[in-house]
Amino acid sequence: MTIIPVFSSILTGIIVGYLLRQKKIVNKTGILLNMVIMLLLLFLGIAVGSNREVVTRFASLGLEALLLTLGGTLGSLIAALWLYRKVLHGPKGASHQSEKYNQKKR
Amino acid sequence: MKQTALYLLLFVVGVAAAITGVLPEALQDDRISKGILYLLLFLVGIQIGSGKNMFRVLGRYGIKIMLLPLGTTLGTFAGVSLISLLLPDRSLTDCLSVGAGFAYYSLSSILITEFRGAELGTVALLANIMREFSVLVFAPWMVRYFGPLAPISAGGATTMDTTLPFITRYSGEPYVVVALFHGMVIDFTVPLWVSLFLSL
Repeated sequence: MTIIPVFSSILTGIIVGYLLRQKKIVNKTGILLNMVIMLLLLFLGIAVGSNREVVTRFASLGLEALLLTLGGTLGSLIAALWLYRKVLHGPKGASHQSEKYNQKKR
Repeated sequence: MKQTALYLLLFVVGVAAAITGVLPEALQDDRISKGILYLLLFLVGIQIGSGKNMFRVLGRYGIKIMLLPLGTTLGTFAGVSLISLLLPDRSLTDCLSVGAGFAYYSLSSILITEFRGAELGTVALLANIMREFSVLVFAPWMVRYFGPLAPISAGGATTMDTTLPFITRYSGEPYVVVALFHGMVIDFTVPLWVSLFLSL
């Protein structure tokens, strides 16, 4: 179960962060977070470099990554277009109408 | 951009060090990086818990502003699920965990490497870097064909930092708040979605 330790780490952080939200020390978490990410990326590089399978299959892994990026990004672009047309434009008219409706009621 | 370059440099240094074999055995111990990973998640939690911005924005703009992060999430998962049909070696949940990085390549690839191995972790790293770069390169094209919300959706978790200047330029000033809010929401859902898909 991957999710339990991951969730509990984040949840503990949320509780601690909420309790300390007025303290100046929480403003420093961004810097610390950045350093931890850099350290982990170094470890990630080590994990990737010491895995012969990954080094030899790098090109085909790159192709998989490209396909997944295309799918995911296009999916989100279509969702954004749909929202722009239906929701952001629709409700302008809709709220206008409901305003009129409210005026009539009054 | 500077930060991205520094991140990638550290990754490359790690790869080079491992390939040339200059590393002491102790550094390759899995438990060290796992410990640091939990520290990372704890810090991500502190940022979420201590930040008031998200709820303030939600109060001012109402629930409608939530629709874009929701659309981004569902659109991405739908697209990635379709691609998983083309990749017989990868399971649906593996593909979804890569998609759930939403361009937050550092966190998602670190998590995936820890729990699924370096192979899928590498795919996640590359895929999510490509997603961030797609906005840096194609933002004007996205706005022209998919409307002003498009580069925000495509930018995923990065729309509150690295891709924000591009969104401001091509979508316009009125979309800055939408982009900031979108980035914040997606950002904190990344570790949740990724770990969820990895544990399925």
